[in-house]
Amino acid sequence: MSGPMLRLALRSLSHHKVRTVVLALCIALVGVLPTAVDGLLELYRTRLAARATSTPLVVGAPGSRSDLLIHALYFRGDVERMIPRKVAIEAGESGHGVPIPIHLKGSVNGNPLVGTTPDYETFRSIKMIRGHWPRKLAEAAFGSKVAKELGIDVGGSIATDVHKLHDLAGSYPLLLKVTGVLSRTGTPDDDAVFVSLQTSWVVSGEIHGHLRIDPQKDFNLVLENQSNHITANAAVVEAVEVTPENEDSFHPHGDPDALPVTAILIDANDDKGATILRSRFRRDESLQPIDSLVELRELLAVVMRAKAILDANSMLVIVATVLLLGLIVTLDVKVREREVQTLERIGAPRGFVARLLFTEIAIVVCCGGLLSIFLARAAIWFVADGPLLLP
Amino acid sequence: MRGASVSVKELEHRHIVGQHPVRVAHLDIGAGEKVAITGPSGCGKTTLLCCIAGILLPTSGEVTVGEKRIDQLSDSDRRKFRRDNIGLVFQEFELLDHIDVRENAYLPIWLDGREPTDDEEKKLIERSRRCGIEQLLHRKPRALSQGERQRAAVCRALMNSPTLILADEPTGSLDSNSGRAVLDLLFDEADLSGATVVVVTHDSTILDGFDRVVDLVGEAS
Repeated sequence: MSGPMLRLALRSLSHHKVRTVVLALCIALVGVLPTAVDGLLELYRTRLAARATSTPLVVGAPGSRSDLLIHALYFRGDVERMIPRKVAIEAGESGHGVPIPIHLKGSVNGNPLVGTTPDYETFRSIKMIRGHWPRKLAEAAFGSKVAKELGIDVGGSIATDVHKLHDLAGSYPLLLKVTGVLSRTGTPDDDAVFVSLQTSWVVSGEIHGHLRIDPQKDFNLVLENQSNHITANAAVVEAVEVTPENEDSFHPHGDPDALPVTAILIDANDDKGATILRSRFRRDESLQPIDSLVELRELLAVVMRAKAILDANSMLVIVATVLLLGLIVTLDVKVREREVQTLERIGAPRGFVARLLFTEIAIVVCCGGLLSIFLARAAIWFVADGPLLLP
Repeated sequence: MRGASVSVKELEHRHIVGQHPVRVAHLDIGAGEKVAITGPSGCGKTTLLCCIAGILLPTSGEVTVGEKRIDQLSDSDRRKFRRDNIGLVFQEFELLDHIDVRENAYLPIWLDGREPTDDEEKKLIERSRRCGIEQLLHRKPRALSQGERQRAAVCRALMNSPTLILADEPTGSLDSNSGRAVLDLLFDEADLSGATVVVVTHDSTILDGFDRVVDLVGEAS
């Protein structure tokens, strides 16, 4: 392609601005969906894989393995059953790794409230922009995106969401004190609110605090009075804020080691430790260990099957568009018959006109393609890093 | 530079099988001569011009321009010969609407796959001044009057310094004054370069100034 030919092609395209813009837009719009879907899937795959790679072993209760994966690593969805905290204690005592229990039941303004231990901070190498990881009851560290969305900072406070508004047994929001804000990680941690396990149990009702009941004075609140145990009804006013005065009143009912966790992340010392713990969990029928990467691959395989259908659809649209473009170009040649005839008469070399038309089409396709990539990138940014942040 | 002679012998051209063919028994045009070819509509004036230019290939017969047998050249060679040696002017001007007058004038050079040299740019300025379109070089053809367009077309036809100028009804779309002006311009340029001029026309009022008038009815069978 020579300079003069390129110039002639550009002059023709700029002369027929509307036609050129419409054609480029058509190509861009046809290309943007498959390009954006490909880009988004790749981004998801990378992000999900990075999270799964850093968390190779997860244990939870038997049930859906993919639900457990999504729940434990990405703080989404729920698990049908929970496991007792003592599983984590025993795993820790084995000396093969650090168990990090996760209790995911509550939420703050729709964002997951993650009850865990301080080991989580070390395990994920979390850095705090301000403040510190929660140390006491009702203290919370906010993911960067949640903090920004809620306009909250260290020193502030916010209540957890009420999930069981009409629960007669009583389910109350807990006022959280913001003690830290995490730096941005580009992971689900950005969307989460981290508290201690005890705080999470308070929110889910496993632990509660209330005014001391005197069976003599508060007889209307007492359902059953045994020598060492008083059962009160739901009229007892539960504490919705942890204060120095009521801090000691928070207590579980029953065995503290039996308090539930929804999953346990295992930070194994080495491969051998991971293998020993995995086989130990497998022997226990009440537990289900999962290999995060294997589960993730299976999950992505399902997504890829769905994508194959989308790809086939995109291919059909592209073929239809190419046929339509071919028709438009053919009609365009008819419309430009005089121009073609003039060039031929003046002495245009053999094939010059065909090359000129091809150059024009190539420029339009390139512009459409570039526009398509630009729009796809914008869409990916919008979905991945913009207002629609996904895990 | 001398003009190219033209020789046509026993030319026959048939557009469609079964249709009456165009026939020219014999036509010799000397180098530097200015010849008008006249005749009624449909007698084959434009076909003859296209055969001389190598746009059409005769079914039989010989067409020689200068030393070249046009009818024996390959398609690519005919195109190159046309680009290098022949300046064409058409009734409907045939300027490209999407490029300006200057770029239209450069078309024969661009079709050669090269940019105009400094010398060629100077020649264009000089010629456009003589053609009276120096101020119009950056305008698109649609912004010009009919007469200005034909002068721009003449300017383009002369861009490759042709030895043979072929014009097909160059005054057909112009009023008599503009038509005369364009023809005078063509003759002046031909006088300057020594080029041979062959003009096809059915307008008997513009025949003054030609060295010879060939009536195709008399020539064609």
